[in-house]
Amino acid sequence: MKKTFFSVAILALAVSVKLGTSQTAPTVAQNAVGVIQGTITRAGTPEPIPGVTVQLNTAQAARSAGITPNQAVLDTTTDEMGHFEFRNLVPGPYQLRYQLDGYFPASEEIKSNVALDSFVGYAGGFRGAGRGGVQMLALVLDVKQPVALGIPMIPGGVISGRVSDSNGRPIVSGQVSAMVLTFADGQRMLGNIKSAMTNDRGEYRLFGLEPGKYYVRTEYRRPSPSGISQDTFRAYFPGVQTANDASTVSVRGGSESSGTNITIRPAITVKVSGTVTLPPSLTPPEAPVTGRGALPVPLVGAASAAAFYLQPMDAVGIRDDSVVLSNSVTGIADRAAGKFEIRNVVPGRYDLYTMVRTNPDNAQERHVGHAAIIVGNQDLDGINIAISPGVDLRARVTSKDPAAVFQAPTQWTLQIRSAIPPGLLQLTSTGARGAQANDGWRIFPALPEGQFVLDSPLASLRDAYVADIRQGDKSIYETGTVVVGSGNAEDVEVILARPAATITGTVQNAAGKAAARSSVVLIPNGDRRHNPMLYKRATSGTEGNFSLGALAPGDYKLFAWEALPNGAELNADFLKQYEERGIPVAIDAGMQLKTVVPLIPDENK
Amino acid sequence: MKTLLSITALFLVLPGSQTPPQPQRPAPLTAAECKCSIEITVKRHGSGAPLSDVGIVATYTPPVIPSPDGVFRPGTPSPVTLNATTDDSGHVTFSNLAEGSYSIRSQREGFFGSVTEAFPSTQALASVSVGPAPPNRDSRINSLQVNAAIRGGVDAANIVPQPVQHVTIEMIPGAVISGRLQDANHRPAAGIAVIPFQVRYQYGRRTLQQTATQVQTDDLGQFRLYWFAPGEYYVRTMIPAAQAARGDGPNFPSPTYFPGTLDVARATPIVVHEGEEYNSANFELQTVKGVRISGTVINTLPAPVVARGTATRAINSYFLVPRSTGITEPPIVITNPVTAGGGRGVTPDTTTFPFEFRGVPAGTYDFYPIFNSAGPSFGNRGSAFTGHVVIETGTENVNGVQAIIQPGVDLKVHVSIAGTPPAVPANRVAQPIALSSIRIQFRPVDNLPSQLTQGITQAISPDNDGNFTLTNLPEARFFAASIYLPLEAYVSEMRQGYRSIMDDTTFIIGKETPDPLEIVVSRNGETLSGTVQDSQRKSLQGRRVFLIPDAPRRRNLLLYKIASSNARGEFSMNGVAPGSYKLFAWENIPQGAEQNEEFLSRYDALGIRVMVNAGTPITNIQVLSIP
Repeated sequence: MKKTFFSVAILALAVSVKLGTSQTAPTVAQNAVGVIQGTITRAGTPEPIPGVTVQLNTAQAARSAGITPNQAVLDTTTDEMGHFEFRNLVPGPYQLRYQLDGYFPASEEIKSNVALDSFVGYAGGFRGAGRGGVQMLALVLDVKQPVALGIPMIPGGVISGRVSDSNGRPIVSGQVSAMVLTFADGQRMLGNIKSAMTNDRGEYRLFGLEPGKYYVRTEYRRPSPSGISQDTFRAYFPGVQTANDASTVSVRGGSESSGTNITIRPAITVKVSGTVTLPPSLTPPEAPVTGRGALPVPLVGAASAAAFYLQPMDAVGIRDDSVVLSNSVTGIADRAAGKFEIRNVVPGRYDLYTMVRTNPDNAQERHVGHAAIIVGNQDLDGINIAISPGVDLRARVTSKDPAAVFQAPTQWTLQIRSAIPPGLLQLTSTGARGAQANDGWRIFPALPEGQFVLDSPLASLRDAYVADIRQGDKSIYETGTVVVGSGNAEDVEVILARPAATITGTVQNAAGKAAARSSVVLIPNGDRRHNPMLYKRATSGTEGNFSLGALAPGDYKLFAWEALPNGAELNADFLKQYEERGIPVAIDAGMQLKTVVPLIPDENK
Repeated sequence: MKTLLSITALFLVLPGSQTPPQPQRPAPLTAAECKCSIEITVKRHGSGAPLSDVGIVATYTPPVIPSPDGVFRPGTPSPVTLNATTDDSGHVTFSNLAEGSYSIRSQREGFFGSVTEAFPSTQALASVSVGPAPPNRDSRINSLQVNAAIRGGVDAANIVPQPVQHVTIEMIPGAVISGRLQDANHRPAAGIAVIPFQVRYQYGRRTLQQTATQVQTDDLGQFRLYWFAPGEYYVRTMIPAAQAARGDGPNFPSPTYFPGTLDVARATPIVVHEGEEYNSANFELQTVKGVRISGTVINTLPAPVVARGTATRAINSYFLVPRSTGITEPPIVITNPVTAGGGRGVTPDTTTFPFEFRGVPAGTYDFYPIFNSAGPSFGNRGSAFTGHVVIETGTENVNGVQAIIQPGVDLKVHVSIAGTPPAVPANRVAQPIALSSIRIQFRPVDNLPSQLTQGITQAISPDNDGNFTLTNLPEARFFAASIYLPLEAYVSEMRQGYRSIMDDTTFIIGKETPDPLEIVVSRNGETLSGTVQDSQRKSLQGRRVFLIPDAPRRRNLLLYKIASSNARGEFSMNGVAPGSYKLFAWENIPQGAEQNEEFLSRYDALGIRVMVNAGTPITNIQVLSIP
């Protein structure tokens, strides 16, 4: 055994140094004569695609043959004929991945002379995150015959055009982004897939895009002579201010949507000005007014209110990113007095937010101020933004049943229900100190007034379930909304109980075959739909099997999606289209349920 | 300062004022009193078309007010800044201004204030004084129009204040280079970085420096470099790291110069003038049979002491520096795809680090693996260490390269002062030269990664005994780039051990402790003075005059002197070492070109020969400016 291993090792070293375009697996055994080879072409044509990265994961096969390979993953690239091959393989299961920027898996069948299972993995948080989708194939290699594959790929599409103002003058060095609908905190938002800059003629070109529907957005800066203002302006194709009013562009594989021009219409913009005031408890001991001249270096206090966030009050449909405008007041003394002026504000109703720092030693310590403003066609003055000292919110997990085993979560997060821009707040909890720590409390410091919802993985819950969530002496189990007042926030307790219920089952597609790697989600009915802690998620395995545990009693619907955009299950509009395809489930404490869930297929295929 | 001069100018203009009796100057008029204004027009250089969207910043410096006791105290109000943007006719007016001096800066992306070869300036500058009109003035002075100097962005001459000033500013439009890149199979090369370089002189070497923003080719292989200063550019591609890491086999795309060569000597620079577009920069990515270079780096130096985690002896970066005879190209930073530790990862005990570089074009390289360390064994200072190896590649792979990381060596340097102090007038005290006031800067002759020379390229001062030590020097050649000495002193001798290196100040550092350097500074350097004139014998202001030693000392930069001519065209130089020199004055010279032999050889016949002897100052030299 040792001798064989030794000679195998020597040979393996020799083999790994040899050069060549095809990879040799550094395993040598009597039956190591398997070959996996293939050709990658443009879908629907015989045209080869060179330069595709192809990777073969040999770990599983090596393990079942009892060999330790030098390299578990072999890689190569397709040559001029679109051809690749891997030689000297032992029989066993293999995983093949292939990828090229600007190319995407095709819905055409992959041609193969052996049985194979394929699925598409995506990098990034949502589909088509700017990289060619990585299609993965699982193969079982039969040594008697080489595996031959014919793999089609779709070339990405192109969106191109020009950004100009209504006088036809080009917008130069503006950023243009191709964006897709996605979800965050249950709200529809746009996620950025690819960006490009406009050149001196205002032209841009976004290429290698996965086929689908896109929103095209541009962000640019107006020339600012003083160099202090960093205001960016935004417009969506064909030249509107908000995503809701925007038109989409359909991209097909290998085609170009040219003439996607964005014309910036001159919008009336006004100035909004006023003062930022700090409560006595937050005013720093001495205002740091130093130096002469225009450019401030404020660290703390009212002078640190540099960025102002505008959140439209009447946001429906797609939520845009907040508009961030910078404070154009530059005199040190004025900034120390809290004076602010923001320019380029489009008329509308807004929640206006800003943030100050109060601790020169800790940049994380921030406090938020808010004012509701109605901006018309005239400059608006005299706005007072009162910074609130903020309120600490405490949260912890307790249990009705002392036998319920759980691990107090180390990290809680808050989602924001009201309109506060997330960038301003610290939304992860910190540990409490002293006796509070011993009682398991976690703290969210200095929260401004608003509505929030708690999310905690509570990952190690097995036999227990979330039975109630209370804030103060009220139950907030139904919607999960945590209220933070202007002066105080009552403590939140998540109360566990036993016994928990479980659901196991399989996901099947329309043909009755097991559907692997689908997203299974259990969603509560009624008002409880607003409480993210009651949602349960799993991904089906290779046999289509899944299991969900730690379930609370109640009425639910069970769904399985082939391709679920991240966070979409929390959005009511999204769910409306699929409501009838979920399976109603009634759960009692301690119940063990088995079921079959029909797959909701991917519509974009 | 400017305001002081303009006030003085005001006095000079008043007729009949011989020795001004210093009347009490009234406080400057406020905005309400003066109601002065500045009207600015910005035009495009060349066509004269008005430029809109130009950002103008006017900064007002309050005038200096003499107090009753005759002592000048700075004005208490802080400088005020006014901003505006030119309209469609290129106009901006600042009105209701207080009396005083205003500096005007104008800026617009894609335009430049001046494009002299050294540093194109993105702003055009002007300087204006407003105030009540002085009485009895000449009508010619009444209607002054100020044009900001285009070359050099120099402030215009001080002006007599007026209540309304008109300023015209010209800005130079940038240039564009566009084209299409193809790969070796005539297919569009997408996602390739295209970089504009210019040749700059650095200590006599012609080097390529990136002077404008790079862009990436799109899916059609198209690229467009825009809004950079007019001039001469080399356009070159860069291979993305991911592709470079995979590079092997016969067709490895290599960094390619327009019009399609791997060799910078055969590259064609593209000349673009202001506002011009060169739209046929089309070329093909060249491929080489990239070879692999593999071997190991052995590092037995102590690992750095770190606050967190475990430190290892892992190599921090790898440089392959191509040896060049013509234009020096930037060194290549190489990523090493091979991990050490045989797959188990690097431990604190690992001392052997295998490497393999793929796709290296044939040539001769200096290989520098760099290991950064810090901690008590290094005197608690951070240092970079290397194991230099020369690698020659041809068409075959190179295996078995071994580089051993070694500590550098220390070089002791001693500076001494020779000669007697100069005679001084009776009422003054002889000033000794404090050795610690001398500052010397050394640089490597060879193209080393900058991490290896950080300790040496800062200016160094000797202690009071004239000693200092350059520590941790890598194996390379070095020279003295500059020295700061008191006015009349000069370097009279420089030795390494017993060998004089005054010809070129180059000393060699090897693996052994080098002989110490001795630098002798002498007093009583000579003075040189004269005037700069053009071919019509007119005096030229603001010309730089260069005193360059003759062979064999032409490469000794410490002997060079540079002076600027004043308003009367006069210049003077102090602390000149005895010897034989040539004097040159160029109308326009690329920054640092005077240190380049090849550049000088073109003008050698036009220089004025000067023999400097001790004790004999030289005056009245007339230097003809070279166009």
